[in-house]
Amino acid sequence: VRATPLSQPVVAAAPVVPSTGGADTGTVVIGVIQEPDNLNPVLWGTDVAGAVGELIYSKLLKLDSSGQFIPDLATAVPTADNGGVTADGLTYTFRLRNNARFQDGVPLTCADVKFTWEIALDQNTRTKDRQLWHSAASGGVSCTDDNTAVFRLTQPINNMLEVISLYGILPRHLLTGKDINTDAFNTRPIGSGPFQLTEWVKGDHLSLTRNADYYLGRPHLDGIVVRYMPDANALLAATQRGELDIRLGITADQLSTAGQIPGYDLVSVPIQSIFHLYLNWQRPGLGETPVRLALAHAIDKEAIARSVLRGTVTPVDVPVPPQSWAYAPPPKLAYDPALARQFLDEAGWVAGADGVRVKDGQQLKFTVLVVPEFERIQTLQIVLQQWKAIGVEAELTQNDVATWSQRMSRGEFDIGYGFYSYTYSVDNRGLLACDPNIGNRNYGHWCVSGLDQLLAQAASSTDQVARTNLLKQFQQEYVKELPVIPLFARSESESVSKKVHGYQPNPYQTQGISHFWSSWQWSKDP
Amino acid sequence: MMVGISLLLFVVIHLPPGGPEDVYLAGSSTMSSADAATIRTQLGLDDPLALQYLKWLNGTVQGDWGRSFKDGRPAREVVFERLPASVELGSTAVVAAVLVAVPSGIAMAARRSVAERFAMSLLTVLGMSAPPFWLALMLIVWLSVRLGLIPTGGTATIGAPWSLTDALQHLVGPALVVSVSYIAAWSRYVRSSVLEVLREDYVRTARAKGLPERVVLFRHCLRNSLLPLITMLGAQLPQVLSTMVAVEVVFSWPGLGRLLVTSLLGRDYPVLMGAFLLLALLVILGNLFADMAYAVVDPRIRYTADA
Repeated sequence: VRATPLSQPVVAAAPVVPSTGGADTGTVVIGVIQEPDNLNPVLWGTDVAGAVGELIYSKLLKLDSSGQFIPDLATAVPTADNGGVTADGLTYTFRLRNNARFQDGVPLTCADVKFTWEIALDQNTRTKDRQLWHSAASGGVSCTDDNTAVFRLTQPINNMLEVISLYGILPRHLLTGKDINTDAFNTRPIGSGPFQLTEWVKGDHLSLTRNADYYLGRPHLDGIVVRYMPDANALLAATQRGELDIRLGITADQLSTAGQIPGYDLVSVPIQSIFHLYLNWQRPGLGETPVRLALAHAIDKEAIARSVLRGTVTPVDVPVPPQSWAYAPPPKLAYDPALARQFLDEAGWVAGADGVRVKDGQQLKFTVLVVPEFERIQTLQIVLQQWKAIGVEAELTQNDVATWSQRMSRGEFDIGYGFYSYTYSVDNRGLLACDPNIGNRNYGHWCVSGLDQLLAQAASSTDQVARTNLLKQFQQEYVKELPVIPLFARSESESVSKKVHGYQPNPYQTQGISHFWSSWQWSKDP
Repeated sequence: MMVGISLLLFVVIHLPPGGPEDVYLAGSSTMSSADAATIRTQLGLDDPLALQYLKWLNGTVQGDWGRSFKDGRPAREVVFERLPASVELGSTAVVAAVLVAVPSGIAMAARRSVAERFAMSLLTVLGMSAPPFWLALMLIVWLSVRLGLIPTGGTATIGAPWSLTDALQHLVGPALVVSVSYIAAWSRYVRSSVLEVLREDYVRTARAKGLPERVVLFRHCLRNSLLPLITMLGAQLPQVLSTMVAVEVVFSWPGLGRLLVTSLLGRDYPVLMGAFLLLALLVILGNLFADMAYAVVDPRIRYTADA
């Protein structure tokens, strides 16, 4: 799926609900491996919460699976042409539809939109994405009338529509005067989306039933059950037994079995996430360009993608997801151990007695920090062998997510392996900016000033064409330096029952944009 | 004693590197490290550990266990709602294990042929050494997927009204896996204990009186041989609980074991403290009951104030 650039996608009319016969068509059971942490868009911090939240809440705009921004609570996507955005790019006006109601019957108005942003930016709220919320309303949110919300910015941003598409609108009348961090609302939410939460059995499942008053039309399904099973093999077994209609997150080693389950389609959808090797520039050699290029050329990405990862990933060389509008990579980096050795030789790293390369008394010997997950370990075991062939020795250190994350943030690593999830707007400065205040995931103090400048220009540009060109130029330059080595762009494999219709997984999935964006149009054969 | 345990737990729980904010950071690219630092401060995690402990202790003695970092609900509520499922699974498994282990232990003691003894040793060694998570997966593959006898997980069919048959169908798999290793271990224990008692003088006397072997075994021997088993049951409760962690994960059983795993990985400290303390309390109570049962089974043992 290739998306159109940010400035272009505009759909003025409300999405049309296709007719599927109109029958009430049962309940769809979705199997997931993780339980939502909570169901409050300001507070949640898991992808699964964002997905379930998409069923319960509605947002001003949505990002659909073709990469188009579409109106949700708003009647149109604001543009300069329709008067929704001022020429200076500092004021966005959203006209709200007048038939949206919360699931308790109270009408949704601009006051709720304003309240949602205010509570998210309240100093006492444990807001997960505080900076992002703030970026879209740096000058405040105000209401001209019940159906007109005005967002003011102190400086223009180029990801305004995306940020607006991330967060569901909270009901002011249920949360005013409450402590939002601890209120029971967080596990018993009321939104204005197509489905209402009716039951949450902790550790087991969530039940949702149709919101018959949904403003885009009565949802076809009676309900949706989200069932979590913490073991991937149990999820596979439950699919084989027909207990699930949609099962998310099939692992690579389950692919062939999952592909043979009668009555199910195996669906694969790219996600905006890339596995990287993070190099700590403070360690011997890793701050030198030839060493990084050698490490990259020594890895046979294609072979690993085909073998242990069974085609669930796409090899990439640049920190931009392949489905992105910004993806414009230079010719592929070749798997070429001879070239890798040549890079090291020329940089003065020569093989010592034990075969490990040495320069100035320092060896190319590293540990690779990784979260113990089967596919990652298998991948790295091959990478380590291939590095050994060019005289670089490395071993694995396995840590749980919290430990991995803290050690990476503190720079307590040589090389780290993990994924970084990009947003639709591909602002990858969080990963790459030299300034630690912007590059807050710049774990290893990597910095190439030329690349940094290109990214800074792209980030401050609100002209989509200029931005696309800058990011293209950035990708051409990136592969000559490789401050961080991208390896594989991820995709997600899912089992979807042939009885389920209208399910459209979203390749732009993030915590606020999910596969469940069109759930009111789903239907299921009896 | 509980205060001592809680202090130890508090330190151990905060020992591993990484806090909840590190987990959030790893799971989201829209969150900045400044956002994470703010949340850490809001959660009170920047306070000195001693102060955090005192705050926790002060709240807990007043019945406020703190609130889950995940959804802000009271940690006590989060922990206690998982207790019934764990009690259901644990007690079924232990009762089943005892009901099977005692007769099979006696049977093993009564069998003397080399072949029979070898077969039984082999079976029990297999039972004791099969890893629970593997056994659970095998059960799911065979009983659930291939034969369709049991569901793949959970405590009840979602959306269906509660029924005993349905509940039992969901329970049998996990309970079987938890009990298997203890059936094996405890039956060997009963066997050796019975064999030991059978060598006692009063057994020889009973046999000399001409009593049938059945009466000797069950009336004279059994009660005495069960004494050590009771102590054993109390002492092995923590092990049963740890087996349950693995089984609850594979069978999607919404019990305390799974809560522990997710809270540990998510660094949800208040819930972790609550769950561990509850388990510690259960273990203490288990041992207390074992001591009391000991007195019931053996009339010679009486706990008196002036003893």
